[in-house]
Amino acid sequence: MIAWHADAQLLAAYADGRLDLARTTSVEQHLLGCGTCRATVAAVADRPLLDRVWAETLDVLDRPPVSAAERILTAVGLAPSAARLASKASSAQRAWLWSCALLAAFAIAAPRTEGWVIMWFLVLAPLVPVIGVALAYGPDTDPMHEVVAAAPYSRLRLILLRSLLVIPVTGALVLVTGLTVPGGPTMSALWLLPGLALSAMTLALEARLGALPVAAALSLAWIVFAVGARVGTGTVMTAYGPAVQLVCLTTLVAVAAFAAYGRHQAGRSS
Amino acid sequence: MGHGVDGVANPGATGSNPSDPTDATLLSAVAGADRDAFAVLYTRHAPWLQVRLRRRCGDPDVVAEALQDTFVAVWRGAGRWGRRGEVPAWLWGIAIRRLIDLLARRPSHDALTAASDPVVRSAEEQVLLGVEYGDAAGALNRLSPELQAVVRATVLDGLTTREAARLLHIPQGTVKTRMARARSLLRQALS
Amino acid sequence: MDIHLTNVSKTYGRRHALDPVSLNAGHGVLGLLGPNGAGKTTLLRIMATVIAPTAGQVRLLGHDCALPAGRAAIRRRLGYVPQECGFPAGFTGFEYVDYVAILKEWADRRTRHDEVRRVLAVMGLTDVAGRRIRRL
Repeated sequence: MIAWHADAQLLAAYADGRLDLARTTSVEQHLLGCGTCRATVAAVADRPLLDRVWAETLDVLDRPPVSAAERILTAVGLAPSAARLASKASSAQRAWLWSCALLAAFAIAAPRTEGWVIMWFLVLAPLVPVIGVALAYGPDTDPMHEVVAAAPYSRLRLILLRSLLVIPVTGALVLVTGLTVPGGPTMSALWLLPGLALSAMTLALEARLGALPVAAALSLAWIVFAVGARVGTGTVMTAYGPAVQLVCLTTLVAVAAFAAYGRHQAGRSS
Repeated sequence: MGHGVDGVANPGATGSNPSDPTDATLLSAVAGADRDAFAVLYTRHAPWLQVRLRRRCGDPDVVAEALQDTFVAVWRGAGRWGRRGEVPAWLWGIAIRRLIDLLARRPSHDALTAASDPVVRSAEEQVLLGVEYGDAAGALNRLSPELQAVVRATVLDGLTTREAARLLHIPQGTVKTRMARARSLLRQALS
Repeated sequence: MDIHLTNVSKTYGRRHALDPVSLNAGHGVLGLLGPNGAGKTTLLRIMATVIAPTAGQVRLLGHDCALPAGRAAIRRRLGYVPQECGFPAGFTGFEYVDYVAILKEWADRRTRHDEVRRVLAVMGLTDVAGRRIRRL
């Protein structure tokens, strides 16, 4: 038995909408079962539209999923490509995140009256943002470091983007310790400035000396300073005295000014 | 074919030759993330789907979006075909429902655009119609555009009352009454 | 002439990683041969602007590598495959190439993704691009 196939004219009429309902019904039912006629009707389909839809379909399929962090950052005004750079945390940074969570849990769960617990917490707290920033860049923590170093993307911009997650995490830690450590919010606010100052110095010096060595040296210096204050004056709070806070603030301002000046100069010479 | 796919064995393989891969084979391959098979499937089915969608909606951008949504859904859900019925019918089921979703979001859009242009038939053509299809076709064509649209949606496209209501932007009750009216008119014409 | 190296050397403390070398090269393919420890990798890393030389002058494509602006200009035109190429955990092939493209300043998502697709197709990697690298 010879199979029936619609001729090109009939299919063209169908495609143009010139067929009545009964014949349209017949044609459409037939097309559901006949590959040859489907190929014939393809000749009268909208080729540019089909090509465009194919390109769009591939684009949708290939698009990597956008994480929640990226969405938040884009919502706050960051360019999507920058948000992508900021939200892809290295395994080292993820480890840091978990440590912060542990630290917060520790602050909540630890006995509040134990003096030595509070003391060590205060000594180590400013180092949290320092470590976070130090992990943002460098051959020790970034498996792609060689490729990154040879790329035109601004190094400072990249480090700042990758350090972005340090801010909310540190802020959360401040909040948690403010609520749970005796001395309350004042106590937690006290270690914020030294932490920021140390982080800023890490950023400023990492280009010349490498992030981890600088962070390690600054951390050690701070621990020595804080423990020395405790030993010398009987309380760690000396390390957080008004003089220290002022020095930290000055350092922050100086680093910011220096960075701004450096960017201004680089902008002028390019 | 102009969609820039390299290395596809035979993009023109319509499936009508015994040596061409069947739609079922292609779908299995697509479920296994085979891009080339996906390209062949697109080449085979996107054109007639586009033409058929065009007969349901006059806005080419809406048709394009529905087609794109359809094939994205096919890529992601190829494993869910389950060998029930034929592939083309399955594809159309996805496509028409995607179209309905898009049209439902555009309340001002006239879903009937180009779908029911009154066709002027010469006396000769009417006689031919009667000979080819018998009275049923004639009775169908004599239905008003609104009744035709409802018959097309529920009978031809296989939509539920709810889906037909969404496509045509009319209440479900109206779909039911129009279907009942169409049925009684056709019964009358054929008796 | 595209590459001009003048007395370029690199020392780490007391270790001489690269003794002073001068080199002029133009178009074409250049091969570096030498025994282990001769400084081939160091020289390449200096030319790729990944590390700075301790002494000497590096001029590539008319730009001076000592200036930040010069380095940025060179990096925009540079393609570099390092000896040790690490991959971040959890990236798919597509995401990795996309990330590098962002670092190469392809800011617009659509053109960048089209280019990533094109590059993957040229390398015949389209089918595996969606898989996580650790599963390849």
